[in-house]
Amino acid sequence: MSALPWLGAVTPGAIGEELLSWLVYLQRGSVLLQLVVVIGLPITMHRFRDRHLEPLRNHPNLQSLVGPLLLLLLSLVFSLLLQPSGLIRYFALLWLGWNLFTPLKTLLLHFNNTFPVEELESTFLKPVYVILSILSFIRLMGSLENLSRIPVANLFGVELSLGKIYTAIVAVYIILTVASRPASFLAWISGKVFGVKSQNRKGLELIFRYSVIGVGLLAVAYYVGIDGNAFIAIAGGLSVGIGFGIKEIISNFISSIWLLFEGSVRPGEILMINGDPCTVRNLGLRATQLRRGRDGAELLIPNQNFFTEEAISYTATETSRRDSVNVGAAYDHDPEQVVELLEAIATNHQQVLSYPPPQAFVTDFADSAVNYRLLFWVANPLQSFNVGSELRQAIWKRFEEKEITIPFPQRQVYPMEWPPSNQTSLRPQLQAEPNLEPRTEDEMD
Amino acid sequence: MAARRCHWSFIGLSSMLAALLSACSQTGPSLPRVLRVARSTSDPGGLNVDETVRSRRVIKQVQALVQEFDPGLHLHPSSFSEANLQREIARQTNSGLGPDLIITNGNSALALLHNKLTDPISLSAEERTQISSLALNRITTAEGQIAGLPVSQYVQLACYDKRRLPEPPESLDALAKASGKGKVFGLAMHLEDLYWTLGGFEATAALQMMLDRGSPSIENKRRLNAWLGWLQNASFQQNVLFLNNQVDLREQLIKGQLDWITCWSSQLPQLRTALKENLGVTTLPRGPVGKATPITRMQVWALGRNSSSRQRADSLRLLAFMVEPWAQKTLSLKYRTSFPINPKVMPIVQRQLATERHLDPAQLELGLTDKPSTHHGNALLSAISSDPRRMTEVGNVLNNVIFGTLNTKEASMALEQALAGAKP
Repeated sequence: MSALPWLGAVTPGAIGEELLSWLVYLQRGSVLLQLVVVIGLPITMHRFRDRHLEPLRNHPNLQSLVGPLLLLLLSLVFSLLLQPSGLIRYFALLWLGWNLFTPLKTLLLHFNNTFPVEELESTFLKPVYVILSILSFIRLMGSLENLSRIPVANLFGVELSLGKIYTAIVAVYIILTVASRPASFLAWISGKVFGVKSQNRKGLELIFRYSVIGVGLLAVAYYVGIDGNAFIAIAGGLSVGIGFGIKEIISNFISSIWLLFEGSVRPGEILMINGDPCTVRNLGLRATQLRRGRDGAELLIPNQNFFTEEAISYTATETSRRDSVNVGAAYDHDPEQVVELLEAIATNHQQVLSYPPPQAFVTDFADSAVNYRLLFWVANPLQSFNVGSELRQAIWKRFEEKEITIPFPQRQVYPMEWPPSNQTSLRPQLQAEPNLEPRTEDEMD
Repeated sequence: MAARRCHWSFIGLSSMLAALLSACSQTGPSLPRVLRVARSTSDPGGLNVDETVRSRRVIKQVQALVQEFDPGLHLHPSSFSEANLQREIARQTNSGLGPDLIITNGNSALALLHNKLTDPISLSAEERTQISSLALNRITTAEGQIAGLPVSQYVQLACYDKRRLPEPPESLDALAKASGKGKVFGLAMHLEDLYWTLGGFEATAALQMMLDRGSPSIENKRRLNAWLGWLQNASFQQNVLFLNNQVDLREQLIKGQLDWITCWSSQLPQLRTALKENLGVTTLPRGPVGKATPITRMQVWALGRNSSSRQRADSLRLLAFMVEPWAQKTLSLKYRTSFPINPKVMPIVQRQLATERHLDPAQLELGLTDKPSTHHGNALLSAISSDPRRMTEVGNVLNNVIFGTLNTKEASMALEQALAGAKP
């Protein structure tokens, strides 16, 4: 089966042959007897669980160990009777191992309840357990050496055996899941030795992580036997693929690498997206994950958007942000006094930076007030909204103390008669609409 | 609802059990007749893909032969390195999943029987006539049990690259001279692989006496010392290399790093594939006082312990077929890697090979299998290798001689202790 024989060929026939050969074991009485025990015991236990496991009802951890231990006991009985018992023992140990996860988790949490045991279990322990179980089962069936050396594919002239493919998949999984640990360590070391800031450290960590993954994948490729020539062939194939199908993916990936090196979009950075400040949470291979400060929404924006479109950053070179508060004061008050008061209010606020100093300006002689604008700087751009609010409250209170009024436009409203007795301006319109009957005063009310 | 689900799962699992049990009771012709065959290879460490592919091809070719005798019978091969064979067979047998047949060498077959991982074979008087009695003796335990059926044998030869070494040395002296002229020779460090050199110094008698806990005569000791001295001198030669195993020798000959090596007839297919018409094969060089005394390796088919009665019957019929004259002749002449074990077939194969090569039958390597010195060597090595501790001690003495940490006199004494001391 091969579409492109020069590129690769897959021959899975030998695997099927190997797996089918396991059926031969079913012709043996000793194997069947063990299978009956292995399948029959859990069924029996399930059937009579309520009756016989009543004393352990309140101890689910202990209850889960009863079945495997009984199976182990049966395997012991078989071996005492000089009967093959390896299958029973194997499945008993497999069952026991799986059921031990929960008690061990409980025990671990008992000593340290902050330990990320769930994450460890789901991303590492259980996958490793499944991998080892598969390997040990194939070995038990007498096919491990056979299966591992069956050539199943030919990739760029390299004969790939099933064992190599399996090892490569496991290695890639481990590299992808574990790569973050050495990368964090390297970034931490860099932070300590070279004094890298925490935000830059996150970017550095990502670069290290991609480097570890890249080196790991190269090592796996060389282990599999894909050499320089094969890489050239892969690159040739990819160039066609990039041209047609995966341009966007590659574009996003290259953008992410570029942005990391450029340092403009790194985890922890604050960007203005559609007028809202957002914090960069994670720079992925395809998209950047941001958290919008306004409502906490998670945004996923393709990396190439940052590469090709404009983005406002408050943290690219420095993190402080300038904001303003607009306020109007009545014409009665001396603008100089008001400006001084506004600047004093801002200076006294704890989160307003002393340098650059806050400044107030007269911006407009409006209809009912003299308008002022107070400009101030804050260290954390995400705080500017809160600081603005607090400054407005402080201005209101201080204006009250100083008896400075904040005027607002006033309008006088006079009720009109209908039809107006002393106005004739609407008359031509009424004349133009003969169907309109003049309404009574009751209707108008 | 939950109770109903449990009920259905109970019924489902019960059906599965019933299906399994019915599979057991089926003995009709519907089930395929497959024999699982485990084969050990002498390659150390892991086997590579090429070797596995070749090994599977050989088994498939044997299967094609078997198909002519029993069309419904299939062989399913699996390979294990010799180092792992005992452990893997033990693991499988303890689970009831052991192979029906195990193809290995004589020593491993004896060890498997000793560890109760195989069943002994009983042969009728007529069946015994199909097998060389000397071969049968090598595979018979002290209690008289036959550990497996010898099916073929391999001989030790000299393999060389004709381009780099047009004239292979016929004596150890010629070998030393050629090495002085820049030709590179390779030998393996194990007693089994070096045993042929003992004959050139007529030192085998001394080893036999040491093994029998007797004291070798002065003359025998002198011959043994001469052999040990040659071994040490050879190791000091720049162009005589002692490598760990036959696989390394083979690989280095293929890569052109060695010009001449000792090889086994079982390795000829790989060497022929790699070197093609440049591969030269000849007998091993003689020594200063005698001819080389190569031994033979046997291929033994042993019976696994977990077979069903039907699988056992098929296995026994297959074994009987494998030593029949037609199968012996076909296997030997078709694959050219092994020699027959059936005494009636040996002269036929020998004549055929001699006719093909325009040689006298006595000059053929097949003649080696029937020499008294070969039988003696086989018996001696079987006695030594039956005790793993003794084999290790002898190996250590040889290593020390080759690396120059023991002189010949010390080595002779150490060898005497190793051979005599460990004997029960």
